[in-house]
Order: sequence, then structure tokens, then C-alpha cells
Amino acid sequence: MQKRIVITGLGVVSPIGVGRDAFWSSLVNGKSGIKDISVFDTSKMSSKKGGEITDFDPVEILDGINIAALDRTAQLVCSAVKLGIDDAGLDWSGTQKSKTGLLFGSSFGHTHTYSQFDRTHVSKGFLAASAKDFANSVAITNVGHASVMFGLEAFNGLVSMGQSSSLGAINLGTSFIRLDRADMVFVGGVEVLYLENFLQFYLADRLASSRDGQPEMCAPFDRRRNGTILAEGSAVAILEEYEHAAARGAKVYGEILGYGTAFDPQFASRQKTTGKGLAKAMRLALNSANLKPEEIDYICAAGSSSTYEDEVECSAIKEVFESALENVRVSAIKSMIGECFSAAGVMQLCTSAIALNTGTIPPTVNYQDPDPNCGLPLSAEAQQGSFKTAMVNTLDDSGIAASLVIGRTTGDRLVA
Amino acid sequence: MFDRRVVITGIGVLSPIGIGKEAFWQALIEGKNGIRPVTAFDTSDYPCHYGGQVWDFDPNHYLSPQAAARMGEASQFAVTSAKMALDDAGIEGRLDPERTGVALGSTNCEVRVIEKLGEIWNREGYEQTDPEFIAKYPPQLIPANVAIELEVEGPVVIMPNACAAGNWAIGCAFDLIRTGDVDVMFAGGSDPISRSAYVGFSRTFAMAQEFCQPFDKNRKGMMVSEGAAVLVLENLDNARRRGARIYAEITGYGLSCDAYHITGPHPEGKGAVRAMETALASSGLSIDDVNYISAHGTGTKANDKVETLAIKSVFGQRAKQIPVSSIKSMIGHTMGAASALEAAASALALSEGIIPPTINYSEPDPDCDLDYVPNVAREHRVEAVLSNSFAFGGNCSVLALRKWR
Amino acid sequence: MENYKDEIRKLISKIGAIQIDRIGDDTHLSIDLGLDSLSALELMTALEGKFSIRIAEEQLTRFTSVTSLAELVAELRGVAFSAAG
Repeated sequence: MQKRIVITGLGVVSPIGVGRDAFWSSLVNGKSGIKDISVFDTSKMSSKKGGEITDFDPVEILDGINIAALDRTAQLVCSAVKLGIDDAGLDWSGTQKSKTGLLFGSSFGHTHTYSQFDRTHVSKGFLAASAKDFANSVAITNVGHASVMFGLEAFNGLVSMGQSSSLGAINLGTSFIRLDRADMVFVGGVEVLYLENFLQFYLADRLASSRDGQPEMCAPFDRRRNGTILAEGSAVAILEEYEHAAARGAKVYGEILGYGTAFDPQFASRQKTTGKGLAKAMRLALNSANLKPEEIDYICAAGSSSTYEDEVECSAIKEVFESALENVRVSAIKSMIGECFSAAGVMQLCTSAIALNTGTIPPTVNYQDPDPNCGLPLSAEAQQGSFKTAMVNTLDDSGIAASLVIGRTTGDRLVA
Repeated sequence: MFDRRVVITGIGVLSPIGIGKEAFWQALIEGKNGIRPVTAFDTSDYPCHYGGQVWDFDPNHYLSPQAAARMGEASQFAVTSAKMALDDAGIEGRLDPERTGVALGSTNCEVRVIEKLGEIWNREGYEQTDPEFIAKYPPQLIPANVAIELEVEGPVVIMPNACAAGNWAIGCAFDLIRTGDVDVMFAGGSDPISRSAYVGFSRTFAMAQEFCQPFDKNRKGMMVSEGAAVLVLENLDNARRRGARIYAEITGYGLSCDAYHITGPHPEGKGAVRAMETALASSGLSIDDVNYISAHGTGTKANDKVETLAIKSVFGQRAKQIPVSSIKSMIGHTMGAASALEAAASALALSEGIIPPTINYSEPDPDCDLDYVPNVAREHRVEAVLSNSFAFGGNCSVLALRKWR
Repeated sequence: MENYKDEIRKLISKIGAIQIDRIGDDTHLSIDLGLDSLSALELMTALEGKFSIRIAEEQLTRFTSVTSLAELVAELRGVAFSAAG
């Protein structure tokens, strides 16, 4: 009988709010965090919007801890971890920290610092190389800072599966608890909005743009969508073995029930629309949760406003759920937070966990003109009900898909 | 809970001392030095000019021109090594795609692509970015490219855990096979030489001038290098059924974190000790079973001293009887590929009964007083190996392997 | 020397995110201010850039206080002066 893994804390730094409550309040009220980008110059591009976080004060969140050595990515990671600690009301000592680990999904978190460090010494000479920037240019340092700051000794690691990164981290955290590598794991995801990664998406024609009079907006599953809108953020969920959580009287949001991942080697070539990989990931998740599609109440979709991936996700969901789709609610939070990429999966998990506890499903903003090829039961309004299980989907452009199933545990219920 | 055993049935290697498993192993036991003047970038402004590269590597020998053209260097290395491993395992055409996956380690993934982009941005600005070129750099493309080439449909992941990454990837692959999620994993690491790592380590006095001398009294630091290794990890029943040649068994691994300092190790190697102890415990191995340690042995003053202390903490009196060697003395520090290359070397040491030496060793250091197999390879009936790797942030991962009988 | 001390103090304050009034001439950089090895290297780069000097690895042991750093800078600049003159 494998160990039960529960979620006992949430920390979020997002384009729609810092902290669990601000995040959730924006979600249910359909408040978007997508704005004109200010952190770099978009004047020569037809994509100018992003989920930029402008109200983030790491000094305040980290409560006097010296953050001089941290770059923005590390500040986001450490802040999310701290918010998670505060949310869980954790008051834990050395011995417990030796059994606490950290796993984050990240794809481009280090790219800006690496590029800046490299460009600086190339243009200004060897002596201009800064030790602090060098340390931060190494991806693992993004989470290393959090381990040092909070004394997390079991392990610290990064997982990159593109958009599916944080679900990969969540699954690894679950697995590590079951393998006795830790009693508690901070699982999360982080992504930062910088020109380096924005440019890659822009030049690949993946971003929404105002070219040809199109609307530059994030409109998952809407017929008018013409691309996604990139965003940044970081979020953490605290995973804990059930008995361990119960013993300390922890607040429990829900339980990790199942996970699945699959790769479609034909996906990236886009020769035809195929939801094969995501469908398989969803089935694996359901099987490992011992659930049938009709037992899923809510799908927190990957829905990113991408012309291709949204269609693929629809096809995969319809294939797996078939007629059970009638009784499922679906929403796409990227309609508000944008494409937070490696941080998206864990933000979707946070959303699902709170949704199950409050009985409210956030709206899908900009869903005004449904794409007839999609046909998912989405809503532009928040929905109320009683939801016991949720599925979180992520789908990367490379073909790496992942799906996670969580459930409401009996007992603890949050007040919205 | 887990009754599946995991064995290594294929090895593919790209290293500064040899391309391919045979050349790599031959060079290791001959004590070859793969460190030479760097050609990948201009070092004339730097105080150092030596490093490791996969000398004479031509991706077009191993990949189709279209495949090579659309991939960055880390992907080229990874795909080439994976194909070599596939071939070495004799498993082509016998994979169940849904029960096969890819897990790799790296430091910063497609660094050469990011560096070249930076040069263009410095000189001409962002508008001159070639869309096809920038498309090469997302990290997840590295394992995805391997999965595309091998037509794999299971879990696909890269773990940018820097110097500990290879062991992380191999360890996670090991877990996936043991839990029955998959039967075969292509696991390892890939890192092209990073100009910024070269400058960064040199600038912070962590790099030597011309060669790497792990555990030597006069050691001055690491030599920055590049490489890749991919191992075929397989469920033992699978391997037996198809009569596969088995190099070694992976018995377990240990993870830990110093949580002490962002770049320097804990002075007593707390994380290293815990990771080694966990590797042993999770393998059901005792300190008496291990008779070779493949050290992290970067050649820096700090690491080699702390690693020695940590080994002694774990093994007590027995420490002095266990040969410890660092192949970084020959191939330099290949970063995210390092522990994958060290796992390959350990598997070969187990199957061949020879321990690769620590070369460039001339003067013992009182702080490093173990048997480092100086300069000459040693015939030795290796029974069980611990392979250490320690990264920035005190990230420690240790792999345990056992001789296959 | 006094000019050096003020400039050095400002650099330490910026690199360590430490209030200037906490940085006395003889305040110990690591024991009193918690400056670690990475910050010391960062400070080294800043000092080299600011004062046009080159610091050797062995001289890192002198990164103990504002006074000791000012002495180091003066020495290194003194060498530069006499070489030029």
C-alpha cells in the first residue's frame, strides 16, 4: 500500500497577485495580469504584452533576509517557498529540515543571467566577470539559494520538461516521499520574463500579436486566438506524507492521486494534429489514480491560447473523456496569468486545490467566441458546485505531455 | 515494494580522451590526458588557455545533416551518445516505445547557442536574431531530440543539476524502472564546453592552468571540459530474456544537500556524507562491500579536502583500504555530463576488473591521505562502487553500482 | 587612504546590501558583517575595476576590514605608480 501524499501549503508569486489569497481572488474575479511589457523594449515587435509581475517585493516577503546575492529568478523561488512556509504555518526544526527537500521545474530561469554574464565579459573583458553573476548563471543556483536560505537538506533539484516541468517536479516529489528520501518536499516551478526567451517564442510565431489587425490577447480555446502570451512567476506546493501531516495537525488542501507523462515523437513536426501524447498522459494519470474519466469533476487545462496546442488538448480531452465530458467543468487559468511556462503546472495545481476546497471554478477570461473545433465545456463565468477531483494538464511544444490528478481529502475545508 | 533490478546494458560516450566506449575505456586505463589548448572560443584574454573538448567530433558522422543542423551542441552530443548506447546494447528494434524513456543531466544546456546569440546581440542587436538558430536553445529539446531519434514515448526529462546532474538522471531512471513504469531508460548527461563556466571558474580561482591534479598537494583547481555519456538502463528480466550483455547492476543512489553555501562545500562534507550513506543504505551495501570509489575529485583545494574527510566519515578505518580515483584528472570537469561519464567508467571498471588512475599525481597532501590510484591503472576485482558528484548549492548525489554475476 | 576607505565602504554596502553606518573602518567583514567568500570575490572584481589594480588569490586573506582593504589598494596602486613613473 503506497504512502498517501497530501498538499499542506501553497505559495504563489504570479502576474495576478502575490500570495495564495491575492492569486485566488483575482482568479475567481476574472482579473487578468496581462499588461504591456515594461521590462524590455517591444517597440519593434507586434507582440507587446506579457504577464509581467510588477508588484513583487522580495525584501518584504523574505522578511529581512539579505538577498544581495540573489538574481530575480532566485528571488522568485525563495519568495514562493517563504509564502508556502507561512501558509503551512510551518515551524520546523533542524531534524525535520534534514528530511525536507526542494524540487522545481524551470526552463529559462537561468538564461538571462547566463547571457548577461557572458555578454559582459565578452564585451568588457575577463576582469569584468562578476563572481555573483557567475554563480547565478548556473541554473541549479536558482534553487540552491532557497535550500541555503531555508536549510532544506534532503535534496534540491531542477526538472525541465518545458511547459510540463513543474508537473514533473511534483511527481518526483511524490515519488521521493514514497521512496523515503524525504517526509516533506517543496515542489514548484519558476519562470522569468526576459527578452531572451520572449524573442524565441516571438520569432517562432507562437505569441499572440497585433499583426493584421488581430487582437493581442490570451484567449484559450477561443476562435480569435492567434498565439499565447508569455508570463513569469513562481509557485510552490508543499507535499507531505499523510500520516506525517496528520501528526502535526497540518491543514490539508488535498491529495495527489495520480500522474502520467508521455512523449509524442511526431508532435514537434506538426504534420497533423495529434493529441496522442497528452491523451496517453491523461490515461496514465487516471489509471494510477484508480479513477475513471467520469469521476473527474474539473480539468484545469493547459489551454494557453496557442493555435496548435489548444486544439491538440481539446482533441485529447475529448478522446479520453468521451461522453463523460458532459459532467466535467474545464477552465484555462492562462487566460489570466498568461503562459507562465515552467511555473504554470504548479499554479494550475494551486488553483485546483483551492477550487476543490471552495467549490468555485475560476472563469476562462476572453472566452467569448468558442472555437468550434474545440467543444470543451468552458465558461467565461466562475462556476459553483461540489468538486471532489481535478485534473491538471500540461503540454510542451516539444511533445512532452503530463497530467496530474488530485482529490479533496475528507475533513479540512478552506473558506474562500 | 520493488523487486525489479536495474542493470546497465549499453554505453555511449563522447569525451576528451575518446569518442565511443572502446576509445574512452582504452584511454582511461592508459592514463591519457585529454586536456589541451582550447579551440572552442578565444582564450587569449584569459589567464588560462587549457581545457577539455570532445576533440575531432563531427556530428555529421553520427547524425543526418538535417538532424545535426537543427540541433544545438548539447543535443548533438546527447543524441550521438544515445545512438551509440543503443547500438552497444544491441537493443534497436526491440524497444517498447511506451515503456522506454529518456533522462539526462546538464548544467545550462545549450550554452554555445546562448553564447553565440549573445555575440550577435552585442554586435548587431536583437533584430538580427535568426529564428531557426534561437529555436535550438530550449533545454527540453535535448532529451526530446533523443526521444525523437529513438522513437521513444515514455517519460522524457532533463535535470539541469550541474555537476551532480548525471547521477540525478541515472538515479531517476533507476527509480522509474524499479517502480515498473518503464523497462528501459536512456540515462546520462550532456554538456558542451561553456565559455562562461571557463571564465567564471578561472575568475574565482577555481581553475588550474594546464592540467588537473586531484588530491595532489599542489592542485590548483579544475580544468573546464565538455562531454556526454548515455547509458542504457534496463529491467533485469528484460535484459536476461534477450540475452543482453550486462556491464553492471545499479543498486541504488543517495541524494542530499549541504544547504550551507551557494558555491562552497560544507567544511565537513555533511551533504556528501549523507548522500554516500543513503546510497549504501538504499542498496543494502555495507562499507565493507565497496572496494572502489569514483571520486568527484575536481582538483580544487576545497572539494578534494572535503571529499576525503567525507569518505573517511562514512568508511572509518576502512577508508584507507579503498582505492579512490578521479577520472577528472584525465577528462577534466565535464559538468552535467561528469557523473554520467563516471558511471560509465565505474560500470566498465566493474566488468573489466581494472580501476582507472588519478593522473598528474606527484606530491601527497596530508589532508588527502587515501589511496588515489596514482598515475597507473590497477587491476582489481571491483565488487561494488560508489560514484560521487557534488554541485553548487551543496547538491550531492552518489550512485551505487555492483558487479554483475 | 581616506578616499579609498569611503569608496571601499560604498562598494561593500552595495555588494552586501549592508547599511553604510554598519561598516566601520575596522568592522570585520565576515565575522561582523557576514560577508561570505562569494561576496569577497565580487568585491575583488569591483575593487579591481574601481582602482585599476589586479588582486592575486593570496591577497584575499586581506579582505578583513575597510582599513586592511584600503592598505591593500594603496600598496597595489603604489606599485602601479612607481612602474609608470
